[in-house]
Amino acid sequence: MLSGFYTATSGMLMQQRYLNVLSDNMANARTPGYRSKRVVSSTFDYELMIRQDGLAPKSFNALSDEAKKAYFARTGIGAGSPIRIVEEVPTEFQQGSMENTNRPYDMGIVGEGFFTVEGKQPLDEEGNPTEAPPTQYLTRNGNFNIDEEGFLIMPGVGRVLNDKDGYIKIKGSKFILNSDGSILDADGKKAGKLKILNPNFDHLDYMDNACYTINPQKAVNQEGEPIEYKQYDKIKVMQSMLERTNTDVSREMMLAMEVQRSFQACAKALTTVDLMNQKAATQIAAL
Amino acid sequence: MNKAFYTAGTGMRSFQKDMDIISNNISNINTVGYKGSRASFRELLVTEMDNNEAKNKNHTEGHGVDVTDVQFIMESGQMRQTEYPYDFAIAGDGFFAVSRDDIKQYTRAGNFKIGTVGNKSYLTAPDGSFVLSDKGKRIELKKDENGLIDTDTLVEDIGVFLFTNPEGLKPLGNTSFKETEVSGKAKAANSKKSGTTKLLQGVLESSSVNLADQMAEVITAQRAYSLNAKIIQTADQIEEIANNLR
Repeated sequence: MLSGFYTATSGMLMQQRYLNVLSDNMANARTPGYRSKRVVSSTFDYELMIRQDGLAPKSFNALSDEAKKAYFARTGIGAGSPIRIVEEVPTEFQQGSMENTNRPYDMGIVGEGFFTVEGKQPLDEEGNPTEAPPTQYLTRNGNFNIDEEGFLIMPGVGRVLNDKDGYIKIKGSKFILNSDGSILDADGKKAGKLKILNPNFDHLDYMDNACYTINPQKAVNQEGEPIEYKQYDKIKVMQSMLERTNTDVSREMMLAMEVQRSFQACAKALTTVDLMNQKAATQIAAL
Repeated sequence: MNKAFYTAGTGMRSFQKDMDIISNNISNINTVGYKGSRASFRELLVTEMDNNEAKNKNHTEGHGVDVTDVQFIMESGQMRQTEYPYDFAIAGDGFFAVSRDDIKQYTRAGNFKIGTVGNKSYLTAPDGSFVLSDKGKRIELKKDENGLIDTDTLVEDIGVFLFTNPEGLKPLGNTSFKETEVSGKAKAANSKKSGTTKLLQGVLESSSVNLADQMAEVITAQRAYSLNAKIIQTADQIEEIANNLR
């Protein structure tokens, strides 16, 4: 009956979701390591549009049995979908530009790979720490710092991991990061190598603070066996550099304009359907 | 409701803070011993989108950005020759210590002067706080038989202090810092022995702020601000359309 209402509304809701995601991209236009996101929409399950065929009821009784059946026959006139839904919210993983910060704790990865940071111990439902290993977060945000004990940390997340899943004790600001990820601490001694993973992007879940986690349900090979990601060795890391976001602000702005106009168009369609219903309700009844 | 409003709002608020920090850097472009700082941005909470899909499909939307930290860039500023005997600069790492507000404060600003208590003269910072020696004592200025102050030995008297993590110092204003747990304890550097630190007399360290860098920051911060304002406008227009449906 009033399916036009819902179709136009689903279009409007979808534009709203587009805008929510692109406003987040825009707000993070200066967040290091941030990766811009998109909304990909698709249609809800198709349903068959049908046309009712038939003759005038006057001659109905004179018809043969076959023709009577044909009266009830419906002709499919193609598939259509009245509703739009979110298909996917993919992340764009291309490289952002590098910026020199002159701050020793800032690191940037050129090319592929993610820093690995150990998060907090997972909590059970009552809020007590469980015995499960702490979550490992992957990130491109190399805006690190040092904690009281001299370990390299990502503020608000946790300590940065080395390739043997230990922490990296840099001791002071005079540490040196080599481009292969190995670190010499402030006293010039070896302090381990940054753990850099390069997983398939499809196996990642998006977290806050420009971090990702590997989703064990997704990280499986074709036989369904879990994939264990190992240290990625073709890395190039730079010290005192930060990777900027890869958000393309002009494109986001263009999309915002498009969103606004599409929203307007959907609203217009909604008003039109409303007008049609109004006519049906008033003028047809007046005949 | 319309989340884009608030998301773009966090953007505007953060870039306003960013602009505040940049403007402080620029206004201190001629402050002796000033260290530039920068905002550290952090993406806020990410949640599931409000659609009727099965959960765990990673349909996420973020909620904006915040400035979580102001990070000091402890790079050295340019050295400027002044030939004034009470101007000092530290080439390399280290800080001068001054006794101010009953605590030891550490600074890179070496524009000192003479302060007099009774008939004794001491080396002080411009605001009158005493400059401290390696052992944390006030530095008394020695006079020769004619009553003239001997400035040649000052280089040996002034204390220079090192930190394992100078970026962890807490700023107190007046280009001074306080030691914290993160910065580590101050350690007196013997400027004669230490290879990375040298005390220079008749030289001042200019502000470490680079005006060209800061102007580039101003432009990006301002653009980011106005683009976020534009998104708020778009969100507002969308609300307006929705409100005018009937």
